[in-house]
Amino acid sequence: MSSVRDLTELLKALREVRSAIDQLLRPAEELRNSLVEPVAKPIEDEFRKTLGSILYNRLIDLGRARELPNVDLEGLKERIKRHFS
Amino acid sequence: MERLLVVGLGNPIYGDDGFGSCLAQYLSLFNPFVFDGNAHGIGILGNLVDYDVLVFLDIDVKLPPGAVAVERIEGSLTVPETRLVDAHRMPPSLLVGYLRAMGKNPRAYLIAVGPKSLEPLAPASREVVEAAPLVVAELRKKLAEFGYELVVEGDVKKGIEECYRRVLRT
Repeated sequence: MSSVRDLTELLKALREVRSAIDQLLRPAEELRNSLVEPVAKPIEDEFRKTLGSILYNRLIDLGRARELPNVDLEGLKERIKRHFS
Repeated sequence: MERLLVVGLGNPIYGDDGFGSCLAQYLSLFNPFVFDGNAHGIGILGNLVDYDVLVFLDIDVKLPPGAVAVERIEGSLTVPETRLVDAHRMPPSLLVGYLRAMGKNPRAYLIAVGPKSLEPLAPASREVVEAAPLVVAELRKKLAEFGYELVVEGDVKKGIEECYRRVLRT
């Protein structure tokens, strides 16, 4: 019985530690959202646009992908599609 | 006779966007005055400077899918137009705008088809492929105004489908 009670107490203590850590991290997360996001978002958007332009102007043919040995062409196409979208 | 060039624009990797490019690839097999500008944008300006008349083949997203229109292009270098450079593709009006800025004054026309889908890695839609003979007929009429004869052998629709198969490796 004692060991069950101890285990329960331990779990309760762990929950409290986790809650304390969450409270500590929350301000850091809020700080990141208020400081980093406004700067990073426009850069990320511009980067996405530039990458899109490069892909549009340069990727005009799937080339000789089919002739490569051991290539999953459908998988490759899916990955290219993800880059486009 | 005025110097004339037919220019196909677009990227076949983006579905119907590549219609003009694929049609130009096919027509250039029989006509030396047809040039595939593909998705090279401003990079093709050097190929356009020596001509009195330019006829572009391209899509126009303002048209319903498969609809064909012939438009006169005046050329524009307005801020909204130049910003389109960032939106990947360069419209013919912007290319002509740059030519005017370079002191060239070609008469320019666009024979456009309305796209149905710009889905990456998809072939041309049925609507756009079916519109190809009408685009060719309009091109033939426009070329006749300047004393040029368009030669087309075989099935233009099959030619476009083959272009997409080649590019997409399907």
